[in-house]
Amino acid sequence: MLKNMKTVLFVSVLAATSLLASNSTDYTKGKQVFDKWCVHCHGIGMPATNALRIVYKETNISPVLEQRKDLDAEFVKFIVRHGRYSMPFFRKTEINDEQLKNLALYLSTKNKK
Amino acid sequence: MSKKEEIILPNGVNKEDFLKAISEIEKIVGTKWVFKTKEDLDLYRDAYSPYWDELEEPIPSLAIAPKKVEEIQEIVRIANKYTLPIFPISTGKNLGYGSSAPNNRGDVVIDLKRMNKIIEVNDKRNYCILEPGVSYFDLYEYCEKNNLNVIMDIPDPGWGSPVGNSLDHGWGYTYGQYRDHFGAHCGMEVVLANGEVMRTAMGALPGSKTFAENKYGYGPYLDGLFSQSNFGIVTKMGFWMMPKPEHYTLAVLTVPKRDDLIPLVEIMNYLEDSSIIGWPLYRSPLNPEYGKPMNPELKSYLTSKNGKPDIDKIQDYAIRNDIPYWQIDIPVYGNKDSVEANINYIKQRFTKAIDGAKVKVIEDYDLPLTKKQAKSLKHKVTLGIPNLEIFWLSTRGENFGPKDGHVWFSPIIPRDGKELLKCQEIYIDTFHELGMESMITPFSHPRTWMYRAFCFMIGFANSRTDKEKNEQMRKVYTTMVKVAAKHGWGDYRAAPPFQDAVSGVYNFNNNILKRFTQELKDTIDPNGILAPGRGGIWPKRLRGDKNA
Repeated sequence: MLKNMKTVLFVSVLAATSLLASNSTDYTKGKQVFDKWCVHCHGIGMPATNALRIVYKETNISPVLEQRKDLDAEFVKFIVRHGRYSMPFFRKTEINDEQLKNLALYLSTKNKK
Repeated sequence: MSKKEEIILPNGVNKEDFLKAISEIEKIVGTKWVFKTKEDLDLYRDAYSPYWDELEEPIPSLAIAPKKVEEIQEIVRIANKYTLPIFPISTGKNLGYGSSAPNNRGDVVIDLKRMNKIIEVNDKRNYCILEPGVSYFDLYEYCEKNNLNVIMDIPDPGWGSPVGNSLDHGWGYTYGQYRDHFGAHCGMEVVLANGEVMRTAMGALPGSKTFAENKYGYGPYLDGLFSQSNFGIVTKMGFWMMPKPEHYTLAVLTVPKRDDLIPLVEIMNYLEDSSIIGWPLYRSPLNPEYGKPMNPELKSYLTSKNGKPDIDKIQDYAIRNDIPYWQIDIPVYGNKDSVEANINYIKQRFTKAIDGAKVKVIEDYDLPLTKKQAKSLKHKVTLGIPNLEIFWLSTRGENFGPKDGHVWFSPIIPRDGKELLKCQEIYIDTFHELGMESMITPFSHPRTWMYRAFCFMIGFANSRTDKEKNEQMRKVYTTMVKVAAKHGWGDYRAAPPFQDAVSGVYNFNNNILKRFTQELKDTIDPNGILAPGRGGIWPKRLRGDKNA
């Protein structure tokens, strides 16, 4: 019985480690998507950041996306596929669903680690 | 899409044939690369469409993303079989001029983004050969990673395609001969409407070693047929690149008076056409920084003379407040000694000819730039560093609400100070007649990418929520096209909804240009499958009213 429990525990730890590793890879891939597609407008001093600075000036929300603590993965996905004001939406030949999932993971967890 | 509309069909194709065509296309490119759900097709709408959410909005019925030339050939053959109108896009980022949407509702988009091979970059003979899906960002990254000693002349948004941009007559920011992106291309590969592949110029010679170096080969020069048109799908292009200069200096010229523009332009033309300077950026410091309000006193003078601007008061305001009327940023390239000598010469030319002219150097760098220098560069585009900073013009400013995008009205006028001032007057009068606040002022500046002409642009705002505003914008735009044409000014580029109006004023000798291109269209593309209406060229089966 004890042996079985140890096996279960070992397998669980292995699975969790593998999940963490996979999340970590996805997170890194998400950052790559951000650096390719988003940073040019949403980086420090860039146009979208400047616009968001005006939007959030009375709040403690950062205009820099990579510094945000409140971003929700589904919200990120929605904005990428629907655009917002002058930000256009992105096609799947630009950011595919897998890449979008990774991007959303990156932005929604970066400052929650 | 209206609620009743279940599925958008390509113009002139029934549902049964459409479904058969889709099934055949899926076998060619794989189901993964055929987009047919509403969710996926909405990503091919023009985010800056002047017809957003109206029945005329050009939303495709299908989008296909091939990877190889052979797949395009097969798609074209299927399109002929079912008379399927197909519309190629490169990176689909032509925002303000159509984005990734087709010309007509229901046209099938051929998305070439996956065809993204950088085939060759040669920094000894200074050229590159690219597929349509390569962006300026991709090419820059490739050159930097491989430490290549060349720069590509780029437009403002770095996510655009050198192939797509040049085919729409896009422009850039270095020396004149590179700024003309179509003019700087050399050699093309094209899939024709019958599915055959053609290479132009030297490329027509099998085994040619100068595809991207000699433009003409032997015989007629055909490349122009494939720009702003619908005679083929371009799958490769060569481009001439600029060797990286050893030294770069940015000088700023200021002059005090409005009329100083007249001698200023003459001298600038001389300097530019002698390759002494790169792209001169004309501005007026009377304009407030983007998003900031204009000084109320100055603003009051814009309407203080019977609703129109009082030029004398504006000039007096500029002098009293020591604000130069015009400011021109002037980049100079070369080695350190030659740049210094040219800067001294430029100073001498302007200060001799114009009272109160001042020339000041604000950037002076040896290349390669450090990362810090590159990041802080005032005009990154002048050294071919791609970015998206231009989007400041559509984002929220302190004084402006958010915009949903912009649509460019882009007429070409002579590179002449007097003509620019006249053009301001005509535009101001037109806005006045339309009963609108003028988007043009007596200190609106020309755009100077075209090295032998000016462009005097207006960026109209579009809306994704206010249809009335879009309708009003369309009316003003088409009025402006007619007014400009009456004075001998014609647009160099236009978004799909305005291409008929714009091409329609190029009507010398009873529309011979249009009649000639239509005759070609009917011969080269008898089924009228390639991008119907692009550039105002319609195939016979779809002419109807649109040819009026």
